[in-house]
Amino acid sequence: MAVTYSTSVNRFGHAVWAITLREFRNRYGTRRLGLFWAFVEPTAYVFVFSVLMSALRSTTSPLGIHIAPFIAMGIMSYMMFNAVEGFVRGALRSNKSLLSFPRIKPIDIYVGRLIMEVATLVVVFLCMFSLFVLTGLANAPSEPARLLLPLALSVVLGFAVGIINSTLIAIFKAWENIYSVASRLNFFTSGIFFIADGMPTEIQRMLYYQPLLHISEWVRSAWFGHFESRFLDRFYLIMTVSVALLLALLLERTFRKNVLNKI
Amino acid sequence: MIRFENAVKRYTSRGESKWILRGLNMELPRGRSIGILGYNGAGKSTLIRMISGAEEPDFGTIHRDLKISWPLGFGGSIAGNMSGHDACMFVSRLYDMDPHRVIHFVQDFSELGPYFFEATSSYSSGMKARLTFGLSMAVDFDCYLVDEITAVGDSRFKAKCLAAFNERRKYADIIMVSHSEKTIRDYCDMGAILADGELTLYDDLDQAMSLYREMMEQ
Repeated sequence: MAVTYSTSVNRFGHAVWAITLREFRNRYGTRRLGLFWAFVEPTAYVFVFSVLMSALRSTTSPLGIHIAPFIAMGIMSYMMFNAVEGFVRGALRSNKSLLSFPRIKPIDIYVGRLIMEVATLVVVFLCMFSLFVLTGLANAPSEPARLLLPLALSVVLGFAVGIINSTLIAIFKAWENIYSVASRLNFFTSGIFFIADGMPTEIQRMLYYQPLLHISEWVRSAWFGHFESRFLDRFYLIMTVSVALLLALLLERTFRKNVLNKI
Repeated sequence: MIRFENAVKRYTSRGESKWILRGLNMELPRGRSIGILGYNGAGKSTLIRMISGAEEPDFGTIHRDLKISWPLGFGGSIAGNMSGHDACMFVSRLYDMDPHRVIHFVQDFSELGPYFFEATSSYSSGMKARLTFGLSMAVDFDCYLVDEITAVGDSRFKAKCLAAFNERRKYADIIMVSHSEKTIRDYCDMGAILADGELTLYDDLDQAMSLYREMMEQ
């Protein structure tokens, strides 16, 4: 083929950029309340669970700080995975017409959506934690850069699982229902409400295979100088995320035909 | 170059399978404009979509190293919630072109007036056709894929499309599906018949037309 490597990278860049901007416009340009709704979900989670937890136990979290920022950290770790997964999973379905442009391949749409959703989440959680710091409910992290890796891993895992799901659903429709039931478990096992070290050893052993719990433990360890999770296995997490991404790209390439013809 | 290599495509619906391509090996000639003829449901639109890459053959490959347009036709490539303006911005980003030039050209060609800034879901089919055709003419494609788009629109629009296309005939080809003999004659200098999974090229458009007419009578 006459298309060189650099042209191909260049085209990929243009396609992703065009899709990203379209996604932003689609979500925030037409409805005036678009950005407001992006804030509602995480804020509502944090509010409801903080009130519940303080009614059931106390307003102090296992780490000594107020319960609200503690839960917010868990929600942030969880949503970086879950929201990205959901948006990537639905990416092709809601951009079906764009696939008829010869320059646009499914991966461009996945990546465009990824960028849009990550940018949204970054803005939302920056605002939320700025508020916590300003009101004195939490201290700013001493080394914010340490948060980048665990959050990036959460995003990449969401991206990979989103692509895997999008592909599997095209082949086997019922997968969507199975996944959405099974993934409810993530909410309760990903450490939004607890830290792993406080759990009985039996449960810790079972939850070892939940990558999302490693992510939230890592985020909290990175935030607080005085807390270092004993549960966290960084190597296991990085391996899981890498394998998931590899599997996602392999599946996407292998079943691209089926996905394109089903969508 | 557009080259089919063992391209196989079959559809199965309600337990009945239908062949679109039974292993096609063919290179479409450059510098010629091809009108594809065939019965309703022979798979002409699927063929066009496969050339564009929106669908892939079940087996085999289609090699292409031309700048090929998206299929211009009823099934919109432009999402309903995009306005004409959004579509222009999208296409100029995708093909790395100056958005002002694209917008200027398309506004002028499509004559949508204030509708240019409205969502395309509120367009009539004629308006949609004017937008897609204008938009595709703003990009300098090597090959235009046309799926019946000129069937909509009044005679003035049709003349305008033909004039715009004639201007770029020197360096751009067209691959077209149409049930109108006149449209095919206006745009194409070569015929092809798609029937029962076989695509046959005819150097002489008249020969293809008369064969196709015979097929229809049977």
